[in-house]
Order: sequence, then C-alpha cells, then structure tokens
Amino acid sequence: MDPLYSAISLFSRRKYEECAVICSTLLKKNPLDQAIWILKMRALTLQVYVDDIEGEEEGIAESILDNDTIAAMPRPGTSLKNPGTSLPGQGFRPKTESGRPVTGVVRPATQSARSETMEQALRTARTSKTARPITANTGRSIRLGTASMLTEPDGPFIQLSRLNISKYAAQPGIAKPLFEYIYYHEHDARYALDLAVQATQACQFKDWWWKVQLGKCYYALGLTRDAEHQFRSALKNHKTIETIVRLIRVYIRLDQPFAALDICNGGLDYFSNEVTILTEMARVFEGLNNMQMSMKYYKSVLQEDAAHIEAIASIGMHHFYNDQPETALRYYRRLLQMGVFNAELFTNLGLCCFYAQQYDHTISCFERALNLATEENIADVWYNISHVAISVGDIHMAQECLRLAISADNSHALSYNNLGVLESRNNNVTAARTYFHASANLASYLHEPHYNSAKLAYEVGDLQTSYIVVQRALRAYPNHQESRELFQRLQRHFSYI
Amino acid sequence: MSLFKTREWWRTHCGENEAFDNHSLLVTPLFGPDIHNVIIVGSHNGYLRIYKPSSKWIEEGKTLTGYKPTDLILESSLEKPIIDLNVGKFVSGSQNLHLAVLSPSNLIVYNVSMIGNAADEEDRCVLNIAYEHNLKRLGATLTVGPFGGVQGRDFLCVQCLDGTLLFYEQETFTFSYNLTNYLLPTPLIYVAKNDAFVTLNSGWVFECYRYQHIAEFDKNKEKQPSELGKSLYPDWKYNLGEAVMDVKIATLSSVELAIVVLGERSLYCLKDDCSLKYTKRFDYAALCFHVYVVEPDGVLMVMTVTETNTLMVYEGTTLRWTAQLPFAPVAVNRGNFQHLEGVIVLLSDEGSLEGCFLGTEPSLFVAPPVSCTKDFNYETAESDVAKYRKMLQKSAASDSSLTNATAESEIGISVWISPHLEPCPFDEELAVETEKHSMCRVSVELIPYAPLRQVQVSFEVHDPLIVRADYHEIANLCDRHLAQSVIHMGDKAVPASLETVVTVTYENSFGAIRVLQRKAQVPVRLVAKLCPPESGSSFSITVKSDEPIVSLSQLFPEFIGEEATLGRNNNAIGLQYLYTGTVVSIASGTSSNRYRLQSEDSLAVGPVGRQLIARLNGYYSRKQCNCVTSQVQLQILNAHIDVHFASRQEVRRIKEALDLLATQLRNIEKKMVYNFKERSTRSLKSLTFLLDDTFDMMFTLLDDLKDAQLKQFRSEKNLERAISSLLLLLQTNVSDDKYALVESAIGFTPQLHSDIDWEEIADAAVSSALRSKMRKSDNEMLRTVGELEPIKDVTKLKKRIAHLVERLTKDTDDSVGSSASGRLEDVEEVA
Repeated sequence: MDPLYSAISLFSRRKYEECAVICSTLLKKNPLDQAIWILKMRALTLQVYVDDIEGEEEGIAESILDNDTIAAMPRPGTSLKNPGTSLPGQGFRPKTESGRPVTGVVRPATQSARSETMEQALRTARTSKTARPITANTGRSIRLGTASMLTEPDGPFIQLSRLNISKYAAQPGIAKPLFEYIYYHEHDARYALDLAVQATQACQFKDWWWKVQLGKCYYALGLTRDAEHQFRSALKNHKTIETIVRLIRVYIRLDQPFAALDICNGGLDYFSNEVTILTEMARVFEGLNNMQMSMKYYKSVLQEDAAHIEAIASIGMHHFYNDQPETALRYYRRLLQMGVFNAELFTNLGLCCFYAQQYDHTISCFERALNLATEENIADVWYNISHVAISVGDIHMAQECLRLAISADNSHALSYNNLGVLESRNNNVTAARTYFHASANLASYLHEPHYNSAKLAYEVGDLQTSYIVVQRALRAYPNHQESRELFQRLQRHFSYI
Repeated sequence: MSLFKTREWWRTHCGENEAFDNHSLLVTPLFGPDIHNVIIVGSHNGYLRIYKPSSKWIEEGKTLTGYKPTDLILESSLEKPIIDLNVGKFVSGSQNLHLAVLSPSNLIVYNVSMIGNAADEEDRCVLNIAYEHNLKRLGATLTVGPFGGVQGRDFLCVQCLDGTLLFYEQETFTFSYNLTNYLLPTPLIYVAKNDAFVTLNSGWVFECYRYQHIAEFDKNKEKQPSELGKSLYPDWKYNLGEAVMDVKIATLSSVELAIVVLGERSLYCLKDDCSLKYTKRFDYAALCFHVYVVEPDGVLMVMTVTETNTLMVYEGTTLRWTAQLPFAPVAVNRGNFQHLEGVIVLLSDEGSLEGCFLGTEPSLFVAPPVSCTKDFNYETAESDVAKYRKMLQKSAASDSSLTNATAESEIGISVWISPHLEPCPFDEELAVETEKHSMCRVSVELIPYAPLRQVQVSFEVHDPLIVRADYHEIANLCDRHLAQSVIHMGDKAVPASLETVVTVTYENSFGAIRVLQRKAQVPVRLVAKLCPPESGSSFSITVKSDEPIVSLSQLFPEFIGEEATLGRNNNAIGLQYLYTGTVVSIASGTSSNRYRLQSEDSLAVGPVGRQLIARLNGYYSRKQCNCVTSQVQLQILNAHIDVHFASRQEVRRIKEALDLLATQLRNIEKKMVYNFKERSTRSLKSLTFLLDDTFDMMFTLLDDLKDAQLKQFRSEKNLERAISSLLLLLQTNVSDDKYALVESAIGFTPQLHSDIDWEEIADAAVSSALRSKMRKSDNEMLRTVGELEPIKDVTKLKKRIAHLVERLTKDTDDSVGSSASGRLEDVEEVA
C-alpha cells in the first residue's frame, strides 16, 4: 500500500502521530512535495488543537492594562466587572475566590481575577484552580504550545523565521492550513497575522475566512477594537457561528455585555436555537447577575441539547440557591446518571440531600466526595461538611472540618470567617478577631468577615473600629441590610456625641 | 457522557491485525432492493467479507442468538489493499447490482451471486470478476452514479492521489479531468439530480462541476490544445472555511435533497443550489457520521460519533438521542436486516463489527463503591476522635502561634526601596570628592486593619550608610500611612552590608506592645559602579553552584545600559566602590559552575559576595551555592582581631596615662593653692611651669586619645566586616542551626561599654558554644558564666574561633577541600 495513502487514512482515523511519522519519512525522500508537507502540517495542528474560544482566559495584563473599557464607573447592571451592582435574585449566591458569583460549572474565564486595582489582582488567592496570575494571554498561549515543541526531536517542523510568507499567502490551498499551523501549533500570533494580512490582500479582501483569522490574531494580541472591526466585516460577507461567537467574546472583553447580547440576538435570527450562542447568552446574563434570563437561556439550551452538562449544572445550582433543593437534586442526579463522577458533584448532591432532609444520603455523598477529592477541591468539601455539622449542632466537628479546610487550602477565606463566628460564639474574642482579620485580608470582596468583625468590635465597645470596618462591608456589598443597620446605629451614636 | 448505552444485537470481529477506515464499510441491499441488506467490509490488507446478520430473539426481549458463523457468507482475499467499495449496475446489459472494489492500482467489478441452500437456511456467495481496469495513477476514492443522466446504468469515477478524475462508462474508459486547487484527496460526491460533482478544494471551498461541462471541457482540450491549462469554472462555490471529514447526500423528497457535510468543528447541511440549510457547531470532535431519511415525512436525521464514543442523533440542529457506544468506530452506517430494521452498524479500525440498536431503557451510571468505608468501625473511630479532641484542646490551650498571627493581621507593612537614585544634598564634602554622591528613597507603607496607637517606625542601616529621619512616630494610626526617608553614604568606607532593617512597634487596642520587623536591600548602585574587571588581585573567594552558570548581566541587571562593558556574553565584570575606589571583580567560569570574586581589599569582597549568592539563590529559587572555605579568611579575621584589640589596648593605655596626669595636675593645683595661702611666691613660678607642662602633656594625650578612638572605631567596623565575610562563607557550607550557633557567638554588635567589648563576650560565647558542641549533656551548659573580665590576650580566643569553625565545617562536608586560593594579606593599620 502506498505510504501516502496510509498516511491519509491514518489522518482520517485521527492517528495524527503515526501520520506525522510517515509524513516525515516521505518528506526526507522528497522534501518538496507540497501535499505531504500540508498533510504533516495538518496532523501536527490537529494533534495539539485546543478550541481557543472556550479555553480563553484573561490575565492580569489584560485586566489591568486594559485601555479599551469605556466607562471606569459603569452604570449599575451594565458591566460584568461589578456584577453585584445589579438586582440579585431570591437567594444569595456566594462568591468565588476571585470575587465573582459562583457559576454552575468552572470555565476558564470564570476563574480569572476581575480586579479593579493591581494590588487586588496580585493579592487574589491563587490555588491551582482559582484566579491564575496569568501575565498576559500571549504568554499563556506560548505555554500551551510548549507541549508541542517537546514532541519534535529534530527541532521545529517549520522554521517560521525562514518562511517566505508572501509566496505562500498567494496560494489559498497552502496558506489556510499554514495559518492554522502557525496559530494553533506554534502559537505565534505575530507571524500568523503577517500571513493573514498578505493572504487577505492576495484575495482582494473577498475571503471572509481571512478576515476572521485577522480578527483572531488581533484579539490574541490584545487589539480588541481591530478584532471587532474584522469580525464585523467578515459577518457582512458571510454569516458563521464561529464569527458570531468570536464577536461576542470581543464585546465581553470590552465589558459591553449588552452589545454582546445584541450580537447574540442577531446571530439567533440566522442560526435559530444554536446551542453555542444560547450558552453564551446564558453566561452573559449570569455574569450580569440576571439569573432569570440566564435560566431562560439555559433552559432553551436544554431543549435543543438535552445532554448539555453546563446547562444542567447551572439550572441545578439556580434551584439550590432559590431554596428548592429537591429540584436541584434532580438535576444533579441526572448529571450523576450521565456519568459525571467527581467530588464537586457529590458535594452538591450531599448538600441538596441535606437541605431536602434526606439525611441518610448526605453522609454517603460526602464520603464519596472526600474519596474523590483532589488536593485542589478538598478544602471546599470540608467547608461544606462544616455547614452540615453546624446545622446539626456539632460545633466541635464543624471547627475540625473548618480547620481541615484551612490546612488543605491556606487561603480559604470563607473557612476563616466561619471559624471566627464559631470562636465568637465561645466568647473567644481575640481568636475570633484574628480569624475575621485573616479572612478579610485574604478576600476583601467578601462582606461577611467585615460585617462580623464590625459587629464584634461593636459588642466589645470599640466603636471606632466598628465604624471603619462596617464601611468596608458596605463597600463589598452595598445592600447588606445588617451592615446598613449597624452603620446607621453607629452614625446615630456618633452624632449624639 | 450519556444516559443511555447502545444495545448489542449482533457482533463479530473481522480478521486479525487488519486495518480499516471510513471507506471500508458498506451496508447495502446487494442482492436486490427487496431483499435484506448485507454488510460488506473490505480491509486494507485485502480481505473482502460479506455478512448477512441473522440475529433474532429466542424469547421476545430476553436472549439473542447473536453472531453465527453462517452469517459470514463470503470471505475472500483479493491480495490488494481495498481502499474503497461501492455497489451499482456496473455491467452493461445487466440490471443486477455489482460490487466495485478500488485498490491503489486497479478497479475491479465483481459479480456476486448467492447460492442459496433453502433447507439449511445457509447462504453462500461466489465472487466472479466481471471486468477490471488498471489504473495508471494511484487511486484514492471511488464515486459511482448514473453520470449524464443515463437510465438503468451506473458509471464509475476514480479520484487519484494526484487529483486526476478518471471516468469509466462501465467497461470503457471515457476521459479524465484534472482538478485544480488540489493537494490531498477530499470527499467527492455525485448529485444525481443536477448531474453534478461536488468536492472541496484545497482552500476549503466547496465547488460544484457539472458532468456535462467536464466532459465538454475534455473534448475541447483535445480539439484545441492551445487552450490547455485553462481550467473549468465551477457552477457554484461555497466557502466553508474548515477542513471536511466526510460528505454525504440524502434525498428528502422528489424535489429536495441535502448535502450534509461533517467539518472538523461543525456540521453543515447545504441545499443543491449551494445555499445553507442549517449548521451546527460542535463542542466535541466528531469521528464519523451517517445520514438517513425517515419516511414518510422525509425527515433528515444525522448520526455523529464523538471522540468520547457517544452516538448523537440529530434532527435538524436538535439533539434527539445520545447513547454510549462500546468502542470508537471509524465508520457508522444503518441497515435493515432480516429480523430487525434500522440497525446501527459500527466498524472500528481494528475490525470490530457490531450491529446495535438504541433501546429506551437507560443504563444508569452506577458509581463504584467507596473502598475505604467497607471495614470501617464507627465505634473505635468515635473513641479515637474523642481522644484526639482531648489532645487538641490541650495543645490549643498552650498555643502561642495565634498571637503572632494576630500581630500580622492587625497591620500590613510593605517596605519599598526605590531603585532610582537621586543626587544627594547632604554631606557636601563627600559630594566634592566623588562625582556620584547620591541617595535613594525608602518608604514604608502601613495599612492598619483596626485603629492602632503609638506606632513607631525606625530604620536601621549598617555604617557607613546613613538614614535621614530614621524615626517616625504616629500617635493614632487609622488609615494607610506612608513613612518616608532617604539613605545615603556618610563616610568613605566599604559598607559592611546593604541590609536595611525597618522596625515597627505599636500598641494595639488591648494595650499590648507589638514589634514587627521587615528587611530590605539598598540598591547596589548607591555604593558601587561598574568598571572593567581586574585580574591578579591578592584576595579571592570562589563560589560553587550546583546549577548552570547564570550570565552576569542577568544577575546584575541594574548595571545594564550604564556602561558598555556589561554585554551579553561578558563573563567577568568589576564593581568599583564609589567612595573608596576599591574594585571587586566577578568572573564566572566558562567550563565549571564557579564564580570567582577577587579584590585587593579582603573586606570589600564580603558585601558583593553576599549579593551574588543571594541573587543566585533567588534566580534558581533555592539554596544551591557553596563557597570554597579557606583558612585565609580565618587568618584575616585573626589579623583584624589583633588590630582591634591593639587599638583597644592603646586607648586604654592613653586613658590610664591621662588618669595619672590628672592626679598629677590635681596635686600641682593643691600645691599651688597651698603656696598662695602661704603667700610664698617663690615657688610659684616653678609650679606654673609644671602646670603648663602637665597641661601640654594632657592635651597631647587627649589628641592621641581622639586618634586612638577613631582608630578603634574603624577597626571595630573592619572587624565587623571580617566577621560578616567569614559568616558568609560559613553560611553556605553548614546547616542552618549550626550557622545560627556561630552567628550568635560572634556575629553580634557589642554594646558601648568601657571595659567589656567584642573580644570578651565572643570569648565567653565561643567557649560555651564549643562546650555545647563537645558535650551533649545539658547540665554542663547551665554553668553560669561569671563576671566578664577584660582579657589580656586574644590568642586563646583566636584558637577557639578556629576550633569552632573547623569543627562545624568538618561535620558537614569532607568534599570541599581547603584549596587556599589566596595569600594572607598583611592587615595594615587603618590610617
């Protein structure tokens, strides 16, 4: 059998490594065969291909040195960066370690730090699953690419610096795979941009595909406005889902959620019920803390694709935080039946069972969660078990669980806060204060430790501290009723003096 | 991830170690449209197999008969790789279906006839070659259909690896056509309704060519060879923008058909006029797919298989069903068989062949049991927990770690020393002598969590560095506060260390005093500048590193751009102290992981060495350096001890002489007063002479004392530096606790005291350290050291220090030999 044919067959069977090996031997015999060259390029590209839309993550450099944002102080409910400003739902969703409301599933973008100041960005707690201090997107994509460099013993397949880009740009059959190779395998947006610019000129700006690729490169290089321009121009020529999704991402990066939603609605006119666009809409609404709309779109996602895990998990969580643990339990059970099998799911199941008063299942769920937990999420499991312990009145066990949570994750702010509450119940004022301080230092976006600390100071008569600290609580969560009351009481008190 | 699993209906395995791909499976009614389908499988190793599955339920819904050997009705070795299969009316004059098999070198049409044996219900097949075409080029795919709209006949089209299409009208070769924009074989399909071919070009654009146009183009080419090279313009184009894995065509009704395209990331459904019907973006990677139409409404259904082996069934863009497959198939198809219709047929690349159906009974995922809870005894665990809780309570009562944590959380301190130097307005006489008299700003930011009282911030630096405004006091600290100061050089000397210590004390709300300390480094540029390295200096130390050499420009990045000498590949630089002019050269080894520091002044090496080691450790983020110890350092220390001791003796001698003179003066004065009373002016004149003389002597002595004290002060600082460089060498070689022992014994700053100075305290400390090293018993240690007496002789002390250092270094390493790499330098008296 001809080796080229077997290489093509291996490629179609997704055996990219074997395919690349055969191509390499063929290329040694005949280094100028373009077909084999392209086949190897495609095999190497697909071997390391990662969907860059889903895997996108915003780093410190992007969020701090970002000069595209229009309003520094956006009006309430119009920005993703300050989601607390819009109307919260019936229940109160806790915040993740980067200060955003908890989402149904962990996505790359939900973990990045959305901080207003550099200081806060640098201080955000960093475990392997939380706010990563990514210096910049370009650095991240290079790191994603290092895996591919290691697999090539004879050095890189294509020396980008020696490539005659203008020659290949004129040949669309070569330029397109070459672009994907540079963008997805070499992760070099600069060279890719160079190629895309020349290729789009070669086809007289008629091929929408090159416009999308230009936009991708601009986006990767942080030139969001240029990317927006290219995507819009591409959409004028030809409507594709990918372009629409990329344009949505541009607006999310620019912190213009309503523009993103407009694009979504426009996209749904062409591609009715497209799951990708519906999911994006649901995520944007979730980011705006508009849970009703988010649920609406997640539900329409499920109508279209009943096995969509993100939608099931998000709806389940919405029910849980709206005091419907039984309904949430049904969603989470469905996930378990579908084969999702991890510590997070069992923790959620355990909590749902507990609040639905199915105590017998609670223990076994948490046992499984502990059994499956990794070093990264065991702190959260212990933290949740402590809630169960507090609810059944076993303060000792609760304290032990919280201590275990802290020993697993030294920066678990919520555990410090709850330990403080338990200590203050035992009248250990000093210890309680210490824990509240630790918690507040770790996570200044949480209002609980500030409020607790203010309350404690108020009780021991330290009114000045209480006054200062309760203001911080109100800064973190302006509508917190107890903090407001305490603040007013203190104001009244000071005005008497 | 799916709630359901497909149910096995019929399963077998084709051959051993054979390879199959997307083109190897064909499910077709070979023996006539009203007879049930058969499964035709051709392997890359050249085996052709035809199966006729006959599985059925023995009892309804209970057990299946499954695969029977008689289901294999044909197995034949064609001795050539089978790369594509197709079925059609390929033989002229016959309406029967024939099987066309494509191998790289030829295309063979077989007549497959069944020899039925009704009695045994066993079928067998025989294979006869109807005709054969030899291909001049390597074939890749086979497309069949009634090209040109012929009735009752099927023609063949072979796509070759080089992009040539070869057309055969049954037994005869008609013409060939070269595809343009072609690199690799792509799916080629024939749309019977329009009599057109649809294919994807290498630029990921769909193109449609009419059969008639291709045929005419070929004729024109023969007639007018001058127009050769002009290619055919496609009927329509559709820019897909991604590579395609497979294309299938489905007839929805008599007027409507759909071209369904499986791209790498999406599914497209196109109409025959190149308009998009619908598209769907996948959030998974698809392996293969199959398209079928559900009659009578003509609903288009698409089955895709994901790389997680899940079968997804879509109606339009809506997911209708998902089911988990038992293996990863390379081809999927659907067929109607004897006892069951609509069976999904799967083929894996190793040859597993399975017919399965979806089934509505969910196969729920059952989580595997938790292993550790099986033999878990709750009663013993409870008693254990009670025991541990008691222990916890005990330890919590005696826990003091909380208080430190409290202190840390009450106030946040960050120290920042600006790396940018500014011209210094203080100490003009120094500024005149050195052109670069500069200072750097140091700022301390205090962020209290709760209000604090009596906050004091003090800065401390090593001589000859000076801090202006080294003390700040804040009576009531409520919000963030910034305490600022500047550091500059105050004397022409080599600094002992560049470390700045910031001490913050405060009173918290309970009235307790807390002390916190932070350390920071003064920038090197404040005291030194870059200069060409010097070689052949008298004193040197060598630093060995476990890690590869780091370029000096990386280690001292602040000097880049200042002078041209610090290039990228420089492996030697010199640092010149701004105020003394002493040069320290750093050279990194070319072959070994060593750095060599050398200078004329033994004391100047210390601070630079400390910087180098700290930076190296920081670069590799672990401690990995060690210095080559030598006796020279100890000898230098001894010399400095001598000088210091001698200067002390000198000061003491002058003070004693002064005491004597003072007594003498008092006596003279007494005598003078006595003589005044006696009014005997006779002896007064001699007394005046004596008095003047004594005064003169005293003033000379006082001048001497001043000099001697300055000398003592300088020798004290030199001693400090010598100790610090000895400690630096020791630090890298001995373990931390031993280093702490030595440091506490000799590396302290003596308090101002007339009689007791460094030598006395060090003597006591070193001897006690030696005792504790030699005897491990604790009772000896507790012996109190008596009143410290001024010592007369320092030889004992020197011996003890040498002894201690030797003991410590011997304990840790035997490998580092004492490769003395410098000669003893005579310590001159500091003028």
